Amino acid sequence: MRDERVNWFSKLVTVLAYTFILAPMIIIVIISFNSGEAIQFPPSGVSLRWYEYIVTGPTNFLKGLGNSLKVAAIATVFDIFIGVFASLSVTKYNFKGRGLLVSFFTSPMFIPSISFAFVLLRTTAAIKMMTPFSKILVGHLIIILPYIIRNTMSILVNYNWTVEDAAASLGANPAQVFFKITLPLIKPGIISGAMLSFLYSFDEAVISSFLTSAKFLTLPVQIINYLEFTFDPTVAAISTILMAASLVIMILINKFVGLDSMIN
Amino acid sequence: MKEKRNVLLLALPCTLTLLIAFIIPMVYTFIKALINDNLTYYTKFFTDPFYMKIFGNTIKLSLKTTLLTLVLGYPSAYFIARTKSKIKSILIIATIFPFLVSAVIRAYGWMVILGDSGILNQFLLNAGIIDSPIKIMYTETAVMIGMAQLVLPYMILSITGVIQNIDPNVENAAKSLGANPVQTFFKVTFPLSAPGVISGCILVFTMGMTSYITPQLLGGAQYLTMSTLVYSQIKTTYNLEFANAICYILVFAILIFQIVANNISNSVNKRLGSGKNA
Amino acid sequence: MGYLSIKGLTKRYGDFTAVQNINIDLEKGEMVALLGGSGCGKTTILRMIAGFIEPNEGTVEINGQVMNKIPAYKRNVGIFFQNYALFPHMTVYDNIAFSLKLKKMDKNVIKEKVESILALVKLEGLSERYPRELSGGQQQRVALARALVMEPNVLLLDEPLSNLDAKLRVEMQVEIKRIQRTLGITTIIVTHDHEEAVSLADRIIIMNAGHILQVGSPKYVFNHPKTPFIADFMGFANLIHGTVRGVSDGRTSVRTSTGAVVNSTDTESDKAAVDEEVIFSIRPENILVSDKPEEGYLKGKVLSLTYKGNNTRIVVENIFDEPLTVSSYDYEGPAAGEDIYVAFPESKVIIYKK
Repeated sequence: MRDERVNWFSKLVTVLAYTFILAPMIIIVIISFNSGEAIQFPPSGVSLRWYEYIVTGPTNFLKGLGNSLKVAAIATVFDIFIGVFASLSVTKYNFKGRGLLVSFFTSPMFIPSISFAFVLLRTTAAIKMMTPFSKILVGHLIIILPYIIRNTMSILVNYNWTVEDAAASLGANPAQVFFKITLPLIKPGIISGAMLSFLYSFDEAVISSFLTSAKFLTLPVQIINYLEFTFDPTVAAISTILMAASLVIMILINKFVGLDSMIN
Repeated sequence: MKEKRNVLLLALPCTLTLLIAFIIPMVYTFIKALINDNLTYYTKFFTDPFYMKIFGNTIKLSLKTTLLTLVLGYPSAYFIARTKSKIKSILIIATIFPFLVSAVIRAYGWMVILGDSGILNQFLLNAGIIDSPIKIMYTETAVMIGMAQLVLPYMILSITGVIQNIDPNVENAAKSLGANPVQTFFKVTFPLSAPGVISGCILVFTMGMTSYITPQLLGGAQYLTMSTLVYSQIKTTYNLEFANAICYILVFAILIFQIVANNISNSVNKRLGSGKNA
Repeated sequence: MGYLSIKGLTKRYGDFTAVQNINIDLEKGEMVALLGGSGCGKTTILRMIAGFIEPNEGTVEINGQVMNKIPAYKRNVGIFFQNYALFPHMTVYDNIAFSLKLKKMDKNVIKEKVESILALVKLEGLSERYPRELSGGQQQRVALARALVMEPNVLLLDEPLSNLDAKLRVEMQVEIKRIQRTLGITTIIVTHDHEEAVSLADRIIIMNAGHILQVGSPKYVFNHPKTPFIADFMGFANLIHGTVRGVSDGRTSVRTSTGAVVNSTDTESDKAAVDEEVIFSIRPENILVSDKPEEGYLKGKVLSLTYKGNNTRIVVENIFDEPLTVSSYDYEGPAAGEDIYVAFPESKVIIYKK
C-alpha cells in the first residue's frame, strides 16, 4: 500500500483523469465571463454580459427553466411516493420472486432511453388529450423511477427492522409505526435520493428532445436548439449557473447522508 | 397471509405505473410494427452495409470508450481507495459532481474545446504548431472523448467501491508470504477487484451504446451512432417504421449483452468465492 | 389454568413444522425460561405470544383472554429484543416514554413514570442521551425500561444476557431478577444458554425441534436431565456406554466394555434391568480426583489439562472407551501424561436407557 512505484503511477494517472473530467467544465465557467463576442481562451476581458443576455436575449430561457422545474418537481414527488412504497414491499418482506420484482421495478434502466423516447412518441401521438408537458412528464417519471427505487432500497437494506416490532409491542398501530418510526429514520436518505432524481429529470435531454413541441420546451432542449444557430458564451453562462446549483445540492446531500453513501 | 396482502398493496402503484407508461407501450409498439411490417425493416437494417457499418461503429466506439475509461479509471480508483491524504474527499466530490451536470453541458464543453474555432485549435494555431484547424468535431474521436468524459466517473466509482472493500490484511498476508508490491497487485488486489471492473465495464459499454446527447452534439450527422441514426430517421428521412426497427434492435442488443455479461460476471464472482460483498 | 396459557400451539412453514402442539402455563409473577438450541422453536413461540406471527393451530391466552385475533400493538406484551432495537432518533426519555405517549397520558404522569423506571434500572440522569451515546450495558437497561414502563401483562426477554461481557452479565442477572420480583411481572425468557436459564428462571422448559423435552425447576433440570440429549445440552459432557450387571437395593451397577464398574443410586434415573444396555452420565464437577490409588477409585491417564481460571478441565483416558471430562476447582494434581485416579459419587451418576 505504501509502495512508491504504484503510488507514483496511480497518482499520475489520477491527475490526468481528473483534469480530463474537470477541464471542460472549468473552461465553460471561465469563458462565461468573457467580455468578447466569441469563444476565446484566455478571455479578452471579464464581464457579466452573457449572464444578462440569458434574460434579455431572444430565447426565453426563464420559461424553459420554469418548465424543467415543473416537470422535475412533479416527477420526483410522484416517484417518491410510488417508489418508497415499492421499495418497502421488497425489503421488508421476503418472498419467492422478490428478485424478479426488483428487476421489474428497475427495468427502465435497462432499456435505452432513446428507444423508450421513440416508443413514447409513437404511442402518445394517438392520444390527443396529452399535452407535450404531460408526455414529457410521463417519460421522466419512468426514467427516474429506477434511481429512486435503488436509492431507497439501499437505505432500507441497512435499516434495523426490529425497531418496528419494538414499536408495535409498545402499542403503536401500523400507521403510527410508519409515521413515528420508519419515516423519520429513512427521511434523510429519501430526501437526498429525491434531490438526485430531481436533478436527473432536470438534466434529462433525450426524452425531452423527442417529445418537445414549440410551445413546451425544457431548458436542456432550449440549449440544444440554441447551439444549432449560435455559438456565443450565453450557453456557458447558463451552464455555470446550473453547475453552481448542482454544487449546492451536492453540499446538501452531503449534509443529509454524506457522500460516501454514493460510492456504492 | 397478511404479509402477502401488504406486499401487493405497497407494490401496486409502482407496478401499475410501470405497466401503463412503460411495459405496455414498449410491447405494443413492437408487436404492432411486427404485424404491420413483418420483418421488413429489420431485414433492411441487417442487409444494408451502410447501417451495419453504423452498428459496427457504435460497438467499436463503445469498446474504445470502455478501454479508455478502464485505463484512466482503474489507477485513479486505486489511488482514491487506498490514499490516506485529505485529497481523497476532494476527489470523491470531483467524481460525483459530474453526475449532477447535464450531458448537454458536458458535450458543450467539448464543443468549445474541440471546435474548428475552438480553444484547442486557437491554442495550436497561435503557437504555430499547425497552419489550419484540425477537424476533430463531428468525428469518432470527438464523440469518444465526450463519451469517455461522460462515463469515466461511473467506472471510477464502480472500481473504488470494490477496492475499498478488499480487506487490507489480504494484501498484507501476501506480502508476509514474500510477494513484492507488483506481485501483490497482480496476484491479489487486481483479481479481487474484478467484480467492480466487470460491472464498471458493463455499465460503461451500455452507456456507450445507448448514449444520445453526446453523439448528437459531437458527432452530428457526419458521424452517426445507433441513437443518432434513429433521430435522423425521424427528423430527416421521416421513416418512422425504420426508426422503430432500429430502436428495438438496440433494445435487444443491449438486453442480450446484459444477460451474457451478467452470466460471465456471476461466474467470475463465484470463482472468487463471494467472500467480500461486491 | 395459568395467567399466561399456551394451548396446542403449532406453527408450520410449508412442510417444515417449527413448533408442534406446545402447552405451557405460567402463574402470575412467574419467570420461566424457554431453553434450547437455535432452530428449536423458542423464538417462534415468543413471536406468537407477541403477536408478530399467527399460529396455525392453538391459542395464546393472557389473563383468560384469547389473544389470537388481537394485533401485536393491542396486546400489552412487553418485549426486550436481543439487539435492543432502541429508536436511534429518540432520546432515552422519548424511547421509554413512547408507549405512554401513545396512550395519551398526561405529561406529568409520563414524566413521573419514566423517572421512576429509570431509577429502577439505575439509569438516572441519562434521559437526554441518544442510544448511540450509551454503552452496551446502558442500552440494554434502556431497552428493559422501555418494555417495563408500560406495565405489560407479560414480559418477553429474548436472549437478555447474550450481548454482555462476563462482568455485566453477572450484574444484570441480579438486576433482572430483582426487577422482576419487585414488579411481579409474568415473564418468559428465551435463551440458548443454560447458565442464563438456570440463574434467572423459576422454571425451565427445554425445547428441541419444536417440542418440549423437559420441564422443571432449575435445580432439578440441572441435576436430572431426562435424556442424554438434554444432559449434553446442560453441560454434562460425559455420556458413557455400558451394560447393567446388577440391580439391588436401589443401586444399579454398570459395567463398561473396558471392564470398569460404576454404580448409581440416583432415584430419578431410568430403571434398567440386568443385561440392558444403558448410557450413564455425571457432571464433570462432581467427579472426585486423586493422585494416589484409593478404595473405589478407577485408574486412568491425564490426556490434557486446560486451566480455565475458576476451574481446571481435565480430560482423562483409559478408563472408558470414551474420554472422561473432569472439572476440578483449585487443581494441583497429576499433569498431562501422568496417572490419575477418579471416583464417581453414586448419587450423582445418572442412568439412561438406550
